Amino acid sequence: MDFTVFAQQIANGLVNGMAYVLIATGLTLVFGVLRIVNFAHGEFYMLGAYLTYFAGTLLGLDYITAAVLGAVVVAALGVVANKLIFWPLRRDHEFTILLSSLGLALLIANSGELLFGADPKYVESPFADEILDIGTVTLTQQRVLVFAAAVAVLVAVYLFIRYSRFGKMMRATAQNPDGAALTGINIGLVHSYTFALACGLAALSGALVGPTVMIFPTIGNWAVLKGFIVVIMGGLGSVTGALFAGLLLGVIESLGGGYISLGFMEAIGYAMIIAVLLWRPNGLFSTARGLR
Amino acid sequence: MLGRRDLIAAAATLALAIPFVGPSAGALAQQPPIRIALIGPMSGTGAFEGQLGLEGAQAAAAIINAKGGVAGRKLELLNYDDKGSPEDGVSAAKRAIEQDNVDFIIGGWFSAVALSMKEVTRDKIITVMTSSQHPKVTEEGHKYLFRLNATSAMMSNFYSKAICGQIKPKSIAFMNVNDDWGRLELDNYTKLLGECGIEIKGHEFYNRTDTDFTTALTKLKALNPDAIYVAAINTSQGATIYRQVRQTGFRGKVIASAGNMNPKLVELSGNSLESVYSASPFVEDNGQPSMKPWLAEYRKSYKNEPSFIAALGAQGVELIAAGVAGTGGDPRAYDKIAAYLKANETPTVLGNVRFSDQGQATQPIHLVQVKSKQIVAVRD
Amino acid sequence: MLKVENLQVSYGHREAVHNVSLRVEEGEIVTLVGSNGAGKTTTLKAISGLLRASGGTVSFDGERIDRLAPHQVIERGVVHVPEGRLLFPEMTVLEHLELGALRGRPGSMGFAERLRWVYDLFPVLAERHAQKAGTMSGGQQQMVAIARGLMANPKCLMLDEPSLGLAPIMVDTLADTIKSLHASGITVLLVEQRVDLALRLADRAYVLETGRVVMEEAAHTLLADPRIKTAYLGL
Ligand SMILES: Nc1ncnc2c1ncn2[C@@H]1O[C@H](COP(=O)(O)OP(=O)(O)OP(=O)(O)O)[C@@H](O)[C@H]1O
Ligand SMILES: [Mg+2]
Repeated sequence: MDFTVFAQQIANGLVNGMAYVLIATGLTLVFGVLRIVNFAHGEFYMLGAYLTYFAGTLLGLDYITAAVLGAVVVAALGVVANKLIFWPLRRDHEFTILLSSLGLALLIANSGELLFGADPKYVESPFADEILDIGTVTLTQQRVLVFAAAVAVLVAVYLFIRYSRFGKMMRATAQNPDGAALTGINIGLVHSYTFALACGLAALSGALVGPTVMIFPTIGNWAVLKGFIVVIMGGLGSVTGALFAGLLLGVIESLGGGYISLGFMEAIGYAMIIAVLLWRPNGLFSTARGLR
Repeated sequence: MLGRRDLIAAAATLALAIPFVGPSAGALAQQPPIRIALIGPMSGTGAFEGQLGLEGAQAAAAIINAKGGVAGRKLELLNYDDKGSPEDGVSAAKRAIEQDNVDFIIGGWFSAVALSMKEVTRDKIITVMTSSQHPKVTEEGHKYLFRLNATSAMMSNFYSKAICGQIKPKSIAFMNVNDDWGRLELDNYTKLLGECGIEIKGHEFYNRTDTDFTTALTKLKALNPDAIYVAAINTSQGATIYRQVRQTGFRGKVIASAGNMNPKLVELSGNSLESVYSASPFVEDNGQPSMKPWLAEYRKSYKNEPSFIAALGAQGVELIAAGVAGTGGDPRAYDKIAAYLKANETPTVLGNVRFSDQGQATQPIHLVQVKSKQIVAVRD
Repeated sequence: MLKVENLQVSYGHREAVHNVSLRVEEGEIVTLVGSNGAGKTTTLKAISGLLRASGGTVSFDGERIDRLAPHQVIERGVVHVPEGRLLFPEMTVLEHLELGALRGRPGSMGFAERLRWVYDLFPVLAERHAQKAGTMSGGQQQMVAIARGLMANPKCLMLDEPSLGLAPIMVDTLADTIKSLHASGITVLLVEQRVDLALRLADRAYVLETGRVVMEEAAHTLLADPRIKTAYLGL
């Protein structure tokens, strides 16, 4: 086995995996705290990529500012979506909520097609084509940025959930919503901010991954699919589980594609889900439900 | 309700009423227009291509109409959406023939649509198929059918000679999409390029749904080939691959599959497409007399860059105009027009086109290369 | 101080509480007794805002509170320590107490002082402040639940089956705790399966049966009347 190629494939896998983790974190937060399986999560990823694109092309903002602006705007959209759809439905049947998130996904994707056009677009980033050689491994600055920004954001999110007052409110709500309400936690506020945080994270992933690929209005499908694979593997509602599961998925895809067959790459995710559900239905890294 | 026809009638009346319009223009307006149905994907995945084709055809028609039309009659284009689906293509063709009483049909952007649609138009109406490449479109006998695009065999014949003779890589590796076309490409070019002494280092197949190609490209780069051949039809996948080829640090030659180089790809791929080769019937500086005015008209009216797909739309209109003009001006003299087009070379924006008895065009094909974000012909 | 009038509460289309009226005066201990499924918990949840009443009113210190969210009810000084405790199993004791203080009414004590007071009341919680609630015994969990409620500085504390799952000695300790809380000026609305215990602690009692108040009486009267005990309370 050629070590250079092996190291390169591992590096590729870790970068892709970290992007999956970033996508999955929002998904798992929303499931953990709001008990919503949010099929529209991928659409917020798509919106993040497009807003970054338009902030760059129409407003002339630099890439980083555009990405941050995109994430903030999408977070605000998340607040609106939660207020209009999910909060009023919170006492309804799970299935109703599931369907409405699917409806929201279709609504956003179709409006995206009308507003943005069906043709692919490219999010310009000054880091996209700059190559970094790290030992024998070659990565673009953008890919290093995806990894580094994701690490920074995840550490920040982790510390926030663990130690901040609001983070404690989120965890309490996730572990026992009625108990949280009777403790004096404003559940509506927790739902609203958690949904905003999740949408902002989705948008940020879109803005970061955008310059490594092309964007079009249906890229949300890809994002939500990867997100769900990771969330199911890592355990619904578990942030640390999502971290390990995402990196694992990225590396296994990369090695599977590199040493077995590319045709096999996509199947790996599904195979892993089935294996995990059979062997550890609560996820690979999960010991109990609830946000920890 | 005010329909399109009423609008045209109103416009014609207005034209008559304006005093400085000369007598020939007055006579012109009294003649009914020649009606051409343009059936293409205006929504769905192919919507962008459909739009380009429509724009190209409209630009060509505008030029012809500005010069007084064909045999004293204006060209009128009617647009139909086939949504890229055979069922919608068939119903659009029926509507065009039976309700709208059109004289000609231009369509068949996708092979699947072309194959179904031609059975509705068979021996009834002159039908110009545009970009579809499936051999059966022209193989199965239809006396009024013409197909503009080169078949994949014609393309690979030309392109392999150009790769061997002009690009001259010592070795090559393939990055092909995993479908019928991608596998056929691999077989064709492995054979054709092997025959002229280029070493085949290996290949990778990617999936039609893939969005990241670094794994495959890492493997290909490790083979250290002189050139990487990329077979991609989907513009978005193509652009990602060309970018990622460079992003993995590959510095050799990049060869794009024939017929798949277009301005959108150049726009999306940035500098990664610089000096990448392809083969295309479309080059702007081909010296054809109708090319320059068409480019000017197109750029004046539309924001997209002129492209091969747009040129196919223009060619369809030019072909119909030449056929009617060359046979005395009756748009329904299908036998005469078809015979005329098969017997004579027709000058179009892309060059002089000849047709076989089955209606398959032979188009000039050029080796092209991206230079300073322009697709230009490689001259030897 | 707390006044419930003609309260109606439904789960879906099924009404579980019909026209319940009760009041708790400042400084009282009032108990709500009744057999399983009588609607005691439902009544408390409607007062604390966890359930929305479909009819009737709840007011506290003269202000309507039946349209408020739970955290707003807590801000007014009504705190509900729920049946089953509803703790956060993965969070520490201290985190529970911090969260409990979030909506606390400003009072004479600051956070640190209030924490010390609660730790004095339940010394074991001071020892185990870093332990996760999910790993504690039933009695300790009940202490966490009550302590969490006390951190909000309640004027009126509603306790729903605090003795559930406690060992017999723990039940006595609990009774002492309730007495000392009452002595410190907190009004108590107590729901208890152990009717004897409840009636001994309380000044007045309401007997609830299938969602209706069937009797309101001084606690000692009920305690002394064996017929009533068998008829309504199954003792
Ligand atoms: N979440 C719910 N959904 C539907 N019905 C419920 C729900 N909770 C309680 N009920 C019903 O409402 C009625 C009153 O229940 P509630 O829990 O208030 O009784 P309780 O007096 O507290 O009983 P227990 O002594 O068992 O705690 C019962 O018939 C019960 O079955
Ligand atoms: Mg109860």
